[in-house]
Amino acid sequence: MICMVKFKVRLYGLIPDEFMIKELTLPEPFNLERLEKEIIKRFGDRIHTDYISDQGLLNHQLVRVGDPSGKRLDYGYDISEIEEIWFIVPITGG
Amino acid sequence: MKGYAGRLLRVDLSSGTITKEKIPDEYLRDYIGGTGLAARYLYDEIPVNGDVFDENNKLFFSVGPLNGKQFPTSGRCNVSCRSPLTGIWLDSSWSGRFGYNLKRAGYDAIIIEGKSPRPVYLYINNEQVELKDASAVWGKMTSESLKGIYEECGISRASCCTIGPAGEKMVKTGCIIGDTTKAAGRGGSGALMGSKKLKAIYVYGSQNPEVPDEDVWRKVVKEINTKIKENKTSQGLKAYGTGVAMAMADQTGDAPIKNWTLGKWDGFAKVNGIAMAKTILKKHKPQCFACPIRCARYVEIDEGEYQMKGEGPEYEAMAALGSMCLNDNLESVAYANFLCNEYGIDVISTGSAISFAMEAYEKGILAKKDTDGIELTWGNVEAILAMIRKIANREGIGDLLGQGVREAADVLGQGTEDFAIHVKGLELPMHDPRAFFAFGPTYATSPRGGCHLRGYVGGFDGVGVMPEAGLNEPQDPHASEGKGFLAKIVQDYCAVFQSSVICFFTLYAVTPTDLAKALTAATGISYDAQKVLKAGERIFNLQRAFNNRLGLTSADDVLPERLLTSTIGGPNEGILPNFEEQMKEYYELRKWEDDGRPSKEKLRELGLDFVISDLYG
Ligand code: SF4
Repeated sequence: MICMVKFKVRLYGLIPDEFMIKELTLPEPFNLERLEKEIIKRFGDRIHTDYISDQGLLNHQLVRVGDPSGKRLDYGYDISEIEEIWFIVPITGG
Repeated sequence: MKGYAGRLLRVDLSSGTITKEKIPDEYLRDYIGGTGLAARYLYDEIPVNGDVFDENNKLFFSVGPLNGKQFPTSGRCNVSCRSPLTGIWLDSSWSGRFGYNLKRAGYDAIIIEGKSPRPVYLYINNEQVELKDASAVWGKMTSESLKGIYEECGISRASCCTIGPAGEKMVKTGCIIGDTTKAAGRGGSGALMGSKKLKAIYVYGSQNPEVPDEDVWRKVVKEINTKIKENKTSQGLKAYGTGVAMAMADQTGDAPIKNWTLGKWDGFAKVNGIAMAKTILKKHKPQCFACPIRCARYVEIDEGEYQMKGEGPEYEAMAALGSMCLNDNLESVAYANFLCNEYGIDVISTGSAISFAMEAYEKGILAKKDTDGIELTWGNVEAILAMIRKIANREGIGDLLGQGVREAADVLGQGTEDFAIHVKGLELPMHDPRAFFAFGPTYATSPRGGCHLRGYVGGFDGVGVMPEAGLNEPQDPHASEGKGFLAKIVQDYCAVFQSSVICFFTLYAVTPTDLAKALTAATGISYDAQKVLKAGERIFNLQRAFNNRLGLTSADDVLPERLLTSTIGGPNEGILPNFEEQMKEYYELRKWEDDGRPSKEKLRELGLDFVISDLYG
């Protein structure tokens, strides 16, 4: 049986003029690679090209991925238990 | 020389005389304008001894070769002096359109010297320049002062900058408010204006500055304007303002919380640019001249305790009056920011001072008897608003806090210096060097004290490149290595921005090569990226020498210990820069001596030979 998991993603800065919170559903378990592919599938045409890597994932040199506590997330392990996953391109304000 | 008016106004307030002086061509060529030109003049003209409020301290208002036409964000104006707050070099600038008018009036700068016996304002309408009686607006809030002077002078499209009651009372964090509510916030230039009884400067100019070739100029302006418009960070700033950075603070750890102690705060969800866009933000015509970014916000609160209309709050205000004081009420942050602008006090220093006082209260160093009965507890909005009024009016504990946290800690003692967060007397801006390591050496060495804009590394650390200066890859914000280098190159570059007197937010899009093109098109002098960066280095080192002459040494190039200690929780918990290593790298690249003076060799290389005998005897 495939178990689907609902969670939120925040995309802050990837689409330069629209910062959004979206609810997604994926079969669990899933890792960050899987999630990024899903994000690029859905929003890739609006995400700035600088933020997409040659491998078709997000460019982690510029995009930071974190859980709600701010702990950085990386590839290669199950992240399906995290309720909200943040993708940000930092802007340091004024 | 093309691109410049080539002259300045010298206003002696003591005698009431006003003269128009030619500016030597080599000053314009070597120091560009703005802060660079100010450094060249004030190095000679401000004595190294004496109190900051002595009449021989001077104010230098200045623009550069890109102002006065249509260059993006070129409405700005720079003001420099010896800072009332820190005692060292100060430059500060505000956006709007004052710089545009000043240049079109036919002046690159105004030097204000002496002290007026009575309140006056300076009136400039092209060639007509006079001091006018300001008694009708003396004592007025900044908005009333601007309104009064605009009505009295009556020229549409003119600009005015003013001080509020705080500057008049010489509160050392008193600022200058220009055009609408744009602030030259930092370091107390408003207090110096107040000490000179100069309430305001009104300026209107109608001359079109000459450039070598209008077609070439227009082409370059168009090209750069498009680049800025299309830049991805510009678009984010346009959509949500600078406050968008507060929405990311839980992830970056950039915004300080509870006087730089905590790393996590639930209030970021409520006090940020996105939340503001959904609540109190109103559409409004742009306030900054020729700006394709339009980060400035306009808000209206029609109901409740915090009714106001006006600009802001921007990121710095949201953090200083929000997270620093644990105040998660967005409307009250907007209102507190509004009050600061009305009284004419710097929001960063004010929020920092209140946060400092809250910590002293928590620790029992301050009690109700010291605060006139105000419960100075974290997050207490009424206490924050009351303290703003007290600071601006120099009442009770507010009198002390308005002198800045360094002086407040000196008076209070009892270990308060451990949590008085400043560098060289300037309260730190709202960016944490534990989040972006490059802020460490930048704050420690900025000529005006702890400052993020005299080296806007936030635009580079982890996000940007500057191949012209050898930065080819975005760096890891949590790497110490390379951050002395990053601080140096960005400081040099920012010195050119502040000398060209354009907004730092264009720096996300405008490269040294672009800026070289623009300066060439404006002046006819052939610039390339290396020449631009070298000019920046010259200006930065001259300001350093200004400070060295006032007694500043390497012992002053420090960070508060608290910023080299882990935050409690948050994304950067346990992550600390190797500050010593960063500074070593920085000093080596700068070619500064161990005692903090630029080496003779470096001074010669930059054409600053005239400084050598002052620094080395
Ligand atoms: S970027 Fe923002 S502060 Fe700068 S000129 Fe434009 S609107 Fe004003």
